[in-house]
Amino acid sequence: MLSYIIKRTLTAVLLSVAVASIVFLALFLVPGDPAEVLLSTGGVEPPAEAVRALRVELGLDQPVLWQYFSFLGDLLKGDLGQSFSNGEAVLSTILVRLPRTLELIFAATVVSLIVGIPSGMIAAMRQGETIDRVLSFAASIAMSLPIFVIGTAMVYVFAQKFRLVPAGGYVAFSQDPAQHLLLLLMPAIAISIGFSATIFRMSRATVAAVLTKDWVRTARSKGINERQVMIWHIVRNALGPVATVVGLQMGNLLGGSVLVEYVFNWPGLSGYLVTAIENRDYPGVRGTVLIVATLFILINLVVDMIYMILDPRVRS
Amino acid sequence: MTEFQHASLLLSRRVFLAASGAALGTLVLPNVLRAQDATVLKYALSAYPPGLDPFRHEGAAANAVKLQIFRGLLGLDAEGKVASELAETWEETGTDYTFHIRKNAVFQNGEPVTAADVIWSIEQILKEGSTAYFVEDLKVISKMTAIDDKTVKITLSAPTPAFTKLLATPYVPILSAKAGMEKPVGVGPYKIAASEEGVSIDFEAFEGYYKEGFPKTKKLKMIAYKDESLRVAALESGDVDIIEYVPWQSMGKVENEPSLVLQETTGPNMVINFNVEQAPFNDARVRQAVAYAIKREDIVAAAFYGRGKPLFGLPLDENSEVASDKTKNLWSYDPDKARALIKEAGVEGKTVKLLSSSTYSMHQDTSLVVQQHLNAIGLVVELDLPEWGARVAQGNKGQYQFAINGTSTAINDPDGLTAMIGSGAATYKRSFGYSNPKLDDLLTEGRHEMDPAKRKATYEAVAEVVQQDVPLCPLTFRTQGFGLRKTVQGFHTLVGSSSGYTGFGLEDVMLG
Repeated sequence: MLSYIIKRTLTAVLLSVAVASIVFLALFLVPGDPAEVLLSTGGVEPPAEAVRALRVELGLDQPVLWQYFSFLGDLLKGDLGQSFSNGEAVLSTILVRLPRTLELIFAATVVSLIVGIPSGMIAAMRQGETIDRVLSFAASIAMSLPIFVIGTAMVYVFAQKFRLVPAGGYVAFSQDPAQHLLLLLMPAIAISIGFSATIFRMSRATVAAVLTKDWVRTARSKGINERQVMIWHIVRNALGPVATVVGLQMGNLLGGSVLVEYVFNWPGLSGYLVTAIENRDYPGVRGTVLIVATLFILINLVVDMIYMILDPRVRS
Repeated sequence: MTEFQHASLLLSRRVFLAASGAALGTLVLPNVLRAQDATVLKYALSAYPPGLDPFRHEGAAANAVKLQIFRGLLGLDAEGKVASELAETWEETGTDYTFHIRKNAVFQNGEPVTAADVIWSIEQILKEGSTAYFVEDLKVISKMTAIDDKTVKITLSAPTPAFTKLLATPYVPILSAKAGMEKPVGVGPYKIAASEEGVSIDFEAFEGYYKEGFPKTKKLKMIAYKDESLRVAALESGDVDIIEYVPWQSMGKVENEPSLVLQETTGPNMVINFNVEQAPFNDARVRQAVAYAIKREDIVAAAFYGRGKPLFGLPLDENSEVASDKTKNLWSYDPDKARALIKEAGVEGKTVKLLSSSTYSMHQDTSLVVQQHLNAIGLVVELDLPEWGARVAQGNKGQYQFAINGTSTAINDPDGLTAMIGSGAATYKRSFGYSNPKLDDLLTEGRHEMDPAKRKATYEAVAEVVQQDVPLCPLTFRTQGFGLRKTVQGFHTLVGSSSGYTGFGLEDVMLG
């Protein structure tokens, strides 16, 4: 077990570095010189010396290979470089932005699990009945609505029409916990509409498959009460695949929550990534992709662990 | 019922009760939480400033912030005229300017503002390798002398009517030489009290500000709302008091809402740039044809929701001191004439590529309208719509035949035309390869002509050349809008090129 974990962790580290390297090199293929873009915001031709000076300042005048090795070297020291836009350490900006996205993902996941798994189970238990049809239909709609449509509609209904919540924004938890949670609610719900539908579908499928298994019939005929059957025999077996899907989705949300963050003005990591790309802020892009890739790999590692706990057969 | 069904009902009942409890809770909370602090002025920025370098151009949102913490010798008043900031009075004699610094002016660290600080700040802009926005424009300064602690004399190499206007922008702030560039210290009406990265910046009044009784509102909060619909929603719900850049499609809504006010003003222009180093736009007749072929009202209607005006003349501010009939009406909508010119030039049926950008709908929509009208007069237009960064790169390298562009001048001075139609190094802001010595001479003449009547005549001559040679094809004025709640008093949007410097006046604003 331990050796398995060590092997997986090592693979994870190598994978992260590989991803970062690919992104590093890919950035140089994208048109648009960062120094030029940075100085062109005014719409005035930046004087050639200014661009040259900025390129030197940003280290862009060095050969690509040199820049790559200095990037790796900094990485070993835990330094993700300095933003081309505002000169601040990329790592500190990420450390400010990342928790905001993480809590958004976490909140959305919790809500989605609470909604998705029980409804999936109910639908599986009552396959073909009305409740199943209604839930499945609702899930299809929920999955097909684009997130920015859901988000914008929610802002319109809850913020503008009914004035129940502020129209997006962010307040630090330390400053105003109640307001913070209130502002977290809307984007989390927006994400969980589609997310819970996915979990619903997955749970329904796996529980339905498990229900037909012999051991469930055996357990019931042994006289074990329904609740015990549910927890020990059905749910445990059904949740493995669900956990995998949840892990993948959470990983996707790390980089993919940009639309939600944009619509609700939630200043998370995805929004930062998009801005960094627009501004050709190479260190910002590299640093963010590296962190996101690492977290994605970590999440999947954890999911694998959970799967192993739930299903001993996988432990070989 | 089986035990399971009992259990599932119990579970769902519990969940239902919990959920409704939470929902009811949220109904109660907002009313408690949204008792706003009425003494904080809340301003919605269109983006979180990418940086706060005092001399660099980092976008409009950054300017709004910088104008609160930094100030220079001069500024703009509510009518957009050059007004006193650090310089209480000043005299100009041709090439010599003498500025008298206010006796009570101190930096935000308490140190008095001296002539040495003024000279040092401008030297930072002019030094080798400077990335300051005005590094080229201020090269007209030949000498700076400190007459005494509070008097600075600046000598220019040639008389330049635009000089005071250059100083009245956010790009020439006076900083403390002692504090240096590591953590620049300025003289603005507000200090930054706190900032939440990517979210908002909190300001509090600087007690030692040189204008007694200002800023009128002691606390200011600037919040970034990148999504324009959300910005408007925040204004409507009262989360903010002022928003910048009201999207055109929402201007009608803000106008009609009784609790809100729309302050609209003409801002930048839309034009077409040409690559004159290749066919067919190396032929002035083809460029002229473009100028006559486009029905500009359609662009205003389609790309700007009716918010704007056709531009048939030099891309100057509407209230420019040299604007006249001769500079305003150089072409008209005349598709027949355009068709004739195309035939004469022998490019009928030729395929041409129009560069625009998918990032900004106003650029993309403008290109669609232009395509339609040019197709109607005998050209075949294909659209090239890369993302903005790539579009800028292509523009800088001349990788286009003709391109849609938004122009903006830093100051309301006709010399802004030099950056657009004068000769110079390659940039996406200028028609690639265009160089007209006659135009350059006229522009240089205009740049240094202090007599208003003579200046006007020079730019009328410029207009004549532009009409024939068409270095760029002006399309429309577009309007810019600020949205306010009715409770905001004393906010004055500045016109044209100065609309981005409306931040000078935030010190005047009070919440009624």
